[in-house]
Amino acid sequence: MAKKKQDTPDSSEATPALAVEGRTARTGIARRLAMIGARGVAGLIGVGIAGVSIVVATLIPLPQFGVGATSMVVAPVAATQQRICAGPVLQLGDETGQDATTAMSLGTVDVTRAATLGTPGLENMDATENQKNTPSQRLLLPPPPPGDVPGVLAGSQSQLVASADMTGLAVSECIKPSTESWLVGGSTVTGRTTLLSLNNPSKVNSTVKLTIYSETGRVDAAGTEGIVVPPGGRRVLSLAGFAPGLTSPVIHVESIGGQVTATLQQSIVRTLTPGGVDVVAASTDPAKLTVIPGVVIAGQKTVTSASTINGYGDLAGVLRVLVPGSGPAEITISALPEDGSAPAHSSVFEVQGGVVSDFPLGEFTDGSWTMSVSSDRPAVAAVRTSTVTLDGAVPAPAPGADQVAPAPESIVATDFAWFVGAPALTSNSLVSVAAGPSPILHLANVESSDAVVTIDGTKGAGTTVTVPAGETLAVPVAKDASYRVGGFDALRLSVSYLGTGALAGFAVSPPDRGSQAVTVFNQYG
Amino acid sequence: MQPRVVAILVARSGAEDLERTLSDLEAQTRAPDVTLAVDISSGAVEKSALAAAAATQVLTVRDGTSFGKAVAHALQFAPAAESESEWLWLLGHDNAPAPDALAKLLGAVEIAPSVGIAGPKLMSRRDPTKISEFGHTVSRFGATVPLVSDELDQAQHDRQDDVLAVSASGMLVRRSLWKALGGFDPGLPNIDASLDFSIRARLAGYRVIVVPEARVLSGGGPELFDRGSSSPGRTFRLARAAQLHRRLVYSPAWALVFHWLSLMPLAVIRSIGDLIGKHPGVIGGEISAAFAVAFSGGIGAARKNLRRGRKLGWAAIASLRMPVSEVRERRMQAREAELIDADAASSRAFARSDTRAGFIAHGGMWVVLLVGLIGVLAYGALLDANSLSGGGLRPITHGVAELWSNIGLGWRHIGSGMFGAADPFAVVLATLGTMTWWSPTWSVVLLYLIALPLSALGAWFAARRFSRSQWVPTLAALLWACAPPLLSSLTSGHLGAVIAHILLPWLVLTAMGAARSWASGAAAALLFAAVAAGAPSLVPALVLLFVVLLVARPTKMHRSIAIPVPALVLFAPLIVQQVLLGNPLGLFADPGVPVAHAHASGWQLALGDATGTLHGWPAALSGLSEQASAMQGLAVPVLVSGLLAPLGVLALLSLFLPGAARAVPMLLVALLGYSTSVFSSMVQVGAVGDAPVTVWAGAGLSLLWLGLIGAACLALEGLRRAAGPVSVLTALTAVALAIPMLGAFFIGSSLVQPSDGRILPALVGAQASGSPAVGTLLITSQGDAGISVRLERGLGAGLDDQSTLVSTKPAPNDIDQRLAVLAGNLATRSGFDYASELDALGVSFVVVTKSSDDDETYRSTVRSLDANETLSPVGTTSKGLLWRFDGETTAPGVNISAFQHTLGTWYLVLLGVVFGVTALLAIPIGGRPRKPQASGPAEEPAGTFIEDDNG
Repeated sequence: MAKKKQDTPDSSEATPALAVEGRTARTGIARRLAMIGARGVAGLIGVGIAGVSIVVATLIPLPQFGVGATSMVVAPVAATQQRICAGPVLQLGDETGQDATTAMSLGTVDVTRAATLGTPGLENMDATENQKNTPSQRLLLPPPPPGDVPGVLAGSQSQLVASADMTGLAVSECIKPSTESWLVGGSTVTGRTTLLSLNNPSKVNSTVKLTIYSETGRVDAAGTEGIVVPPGGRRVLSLAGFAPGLTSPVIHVESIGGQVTATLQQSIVRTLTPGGVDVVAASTDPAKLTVIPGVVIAGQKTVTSASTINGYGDLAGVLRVLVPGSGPAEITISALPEDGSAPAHSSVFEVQGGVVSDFPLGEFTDGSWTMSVSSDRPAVAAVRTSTVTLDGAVPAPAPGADQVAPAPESIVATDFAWFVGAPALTSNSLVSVAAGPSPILHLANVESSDAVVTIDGTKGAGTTVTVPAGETLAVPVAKDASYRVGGFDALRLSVSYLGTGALAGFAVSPPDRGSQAVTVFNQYG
Repeated sequence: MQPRVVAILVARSGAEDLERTLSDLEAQTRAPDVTLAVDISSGAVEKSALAAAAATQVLTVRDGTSFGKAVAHALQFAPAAESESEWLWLLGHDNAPAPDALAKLLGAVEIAPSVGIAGPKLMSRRDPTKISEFGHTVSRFGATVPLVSDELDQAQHDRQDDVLAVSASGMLVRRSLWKALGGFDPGLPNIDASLDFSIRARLAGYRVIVVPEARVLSGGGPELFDRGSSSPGRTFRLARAAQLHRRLVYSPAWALVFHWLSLMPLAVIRSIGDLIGKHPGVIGGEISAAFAVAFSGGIGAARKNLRRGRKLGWAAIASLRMPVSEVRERRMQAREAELIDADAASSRAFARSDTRAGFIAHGGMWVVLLVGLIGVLAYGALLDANSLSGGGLRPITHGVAELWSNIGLGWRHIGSGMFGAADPFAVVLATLGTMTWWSPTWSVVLLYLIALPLSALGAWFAARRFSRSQWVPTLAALLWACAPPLLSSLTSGHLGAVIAHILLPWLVLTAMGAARSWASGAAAALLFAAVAAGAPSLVPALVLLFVVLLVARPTKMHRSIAIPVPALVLFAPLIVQQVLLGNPLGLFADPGVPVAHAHASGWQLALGDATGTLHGWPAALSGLSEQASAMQGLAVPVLVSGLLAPLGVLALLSLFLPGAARAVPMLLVALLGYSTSVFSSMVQVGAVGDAPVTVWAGAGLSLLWLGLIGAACLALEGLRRAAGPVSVLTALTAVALAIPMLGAFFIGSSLVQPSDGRILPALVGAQASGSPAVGTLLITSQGDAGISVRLERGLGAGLDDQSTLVSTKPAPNDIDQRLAVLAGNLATRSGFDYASELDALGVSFVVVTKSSDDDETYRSTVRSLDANETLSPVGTTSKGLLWRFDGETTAPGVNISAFQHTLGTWYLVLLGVVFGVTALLAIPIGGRPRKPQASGPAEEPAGTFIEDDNG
């Protein structure tokens, strides 16, 4: 188009050559002007075309043709679900004090189990550490027929121990294996025994690495790496073997190969008096918000006064926090009573990364509380509280003095429990409540909207409750029963027990999500 | 006794010639005693002329009768021979004799009784001062050699008398001899008939002489006897057939079978020679002549006839043959004469281009060396690498033989594999790999090192084609070598686009020269195929330009029309297969490993930026300092635009300056290139994981740059005195713009990296050396989007195994789906029956790689693989985490049917023939400008449609 315009003056070139001499100059000028004009027009058209093309290509949304990514949603073949229960409590050495390095099992546990589909099976695991022990058990739920939605499997175990060396209530949830666990709890000071149990329910070897943190920072200890747990087997390790004298340990368990379950068992013997036992499952992974619902504060005054006795200091409640990594971090600890009777406490602290901090709980009214730790860097946390039963009345405090410490002889029984962070549950869940005194189900809603929750138990009628935003609801439940909890978007659940000389609790872990569908893209080049 | 003469006039056509011949015949001082006229189906005019003439008898024979048969036919009606000294005078309708012709002929034969045949001096009918024919001989190998042709008659040959043979026109032959020899050989209807007859006369003991004093006009050779004109191809075929016929007739009996067997092979070998000699038109003649002679029935009769008449041995005529040395000398003289002609043409061309730049004299070599230095500095990091990987590249894993066996139709050894067409690029890759045959994969490294100077070289010569200026080609070379599309193709591993960029200037150069030279046209065809194979997205634009070229010069079409043919043959199987698969857009997919780039928007493409990374400036600046990275946003696009402004403004300015008409096509090329790049970025051809792969826009941008540089060069010529500073500015800004991309290997922003030549972990390689079908499943985490899965066999699919047919597959096949299911189950905890599926799919290894550092999908995939009792972990390798399946595996076999195999073989033959012929034609030796058939101004060396506006 532009070329044609240009050709016209060029092709007229021949004509003036024949023209009369006098006209040549004039025609020449005219021709030159015409050519310049034509070039100007051609140029402007060219610039215009260039501009328009770029603007069009930039501004007009261009469609896409052809075949792009093709993907397939692959629903993995459902596998047998399993949950591993911790098994009977363990003690080092037998009644006679022999074999002080061998873990011996003590008594048996009550396991409560349930599944939303099918019947869960129960199977003994291999007691690798000592074949004479009563082994721990696992719950198995076979996969549904292809195409069906797999069921939810849940279970928990409880054991009320009353031996010469160990008393108290230990309740723990049967848990799924994982590659990583943060165990917050335990102590290895004199009289406190902390055993780490590693169960490998998979069919391949698992190589476990432990990272131990304490109040002085990260503990360098030999033998914390390359701990091999055989398929289907268990290893029990005494934490004191790695690091004696720790007041506030936190253990990070990582496994390569088969996934493992890791639990801590802490028992206390004060001089010769057993002071309680607890089995601690993993807390939530490091997060900027850790929520610990259902922290039981019982006989606060008694506990406080008893804790002043020499050797009874760890009766006092503490909140243990670790921010993994290094450098300072700011944490906010808040406590909210579950019956709404008191306003929330909230304090801000600065902690050092990699160093475990135990914050004393202070004066809390009796009842159950939801503790939460929010921090600017991911943190792990757990709470320990205790219960004390006295023989007779405590002497009235003298005027001026707040409390009077009771004599050790008047303490009939003590027990303690670690309450760990509860993970957020996003779908229908199943809670199995093992046998134990006055179990209570705690439903914590830290979201900004109310949650309407249906609770259907295997015993008794179902109920529907509303958990207001930001609050926690405590619902008494029957022991040795299982409950389907559903209808919500996000909740954190835990179960607590309280009796005479018996205190325990566990957080409810989410249902097995290992068999979620995966989007797979075929790649050909 | 006065000898009796029977004149036999054979008239075929040509009324004017015939009338003159008849009148001249009547005007003979010594008139023939008997005149017989043979009319071979001539027109009414000729019939009446013959009837009016004083011929003794007018005979009519059917159409298609040869000269020899017509004479034989006439003799039946001639009066019976009266004595031994009776002569036949053979004349065609065009052979007007001089008045004393017969008298002189008879005078010559009377004094020499041993003479059997006498021939006159045949003068050209068009120009009677020129000798048309004056005796023939044969070379040592039996080829006919005219003793004289087309020479001005200066009596220089008048001393000649004994010759081996004379022409049939005006031949005076003893009637007894004619009878004894049985006349002309019916197997030689025109060419060589008289030669053969003369030779037989010689062998019968007679002499054959020429009589210089006797002059007879001639309209041309015997091939023209029955028609007005003969195409060079036909003439060649007839001559060749005659020569082969004679060869079989003359050969000793024992050699006959060898001569017969050699007919076809010789024809093929001679055809190749013809191609190299740029005479593709005669190939048909070679083959058909060989065929015709091989299966003609006349050989036996002719041999018998020869034996019967022969009295002397072949040695008798040996002295009359032309010696080899003389044949050679004549050939050299002919070539020299042609060269002189050609020189005259080229000196005319030279007169027009005397100011054009010289490669060494005017900076061409220096700019290539400079750019070569830049290239070595930029890609020096690759100097000690043996192969490259990343982006569109992978190591080439095979040797030269496998590279070549990869082309055409066959089993595509990639992923789950399929039968189908190889990428056309496989041929380019095989050629490339052959150049470094000791390590084909290194050829890619070499190409990286010399890509810049090679581009500069091509651009320099192409620019010289269009520019009279002595230094503008230098600037064009620099701009083309530092063109962002080239550099981004290099850093992202688009090898095909790199090759297309290097070859584009040569393609322009040869396509422009195609009208004048076979070699140029054939080279353009090969380059077209290579460019199309390297960057299929350029094909629509190139075809459009090709059509424009044809339309612009319709008279020169025959040498250009076939330019796209090799490319078409190369693409044909892929076109058929992609269309059958319903995925024609897949044809535009770039060869090599698919690469997903960020989408470049319209303005980024206009800045020459195909990857949406603004030529690496943001990355380079953020590497420099924090402040620099803070000034991103609008600043970088402004900076890049500023650096590109001189080139862009110059290109558009060309429209406003004198010579604008030449700039218009250049800018249209630029517009075409821009459109190509915009459309490229709209066409999705497969995916990398979840990211769609679009056609590489860089190839289109190369075309855009070609047009821009061309227009800018024209503008510089129009700028006159301002050109110097402007071009220095343009050069500096262009080089400055390229700095981050040139430094990409140092900054680390290059997708391409030196590679150890392995695609899979070394452990897999060790296993694959024993069992080449060992399968490895590569699972790559795609973050939240999921995972992607790829299957490799043996050492893994290298660059040479890539196939766009496979990579643009519109839907996964059965095996792909099973692989996806297997990968999905491997990546999660599942109750899948791994062992049997790994066995069935032949997968022995699993490699997992991540897409980013913080990748939960990757971690969970690794966890589930670690927990998988079917696999045992091997550990971390440079290619990712590796697991091994220790069970037995049986890889699915390659599945090619016999029909597919045959199809592949025939296709290879076709491909070989087409490319062989084109390559032979493209060899620049032997090519010479054809002599003008009809001289005239139309045949003057024509300017291109771009050039002649200013002419």
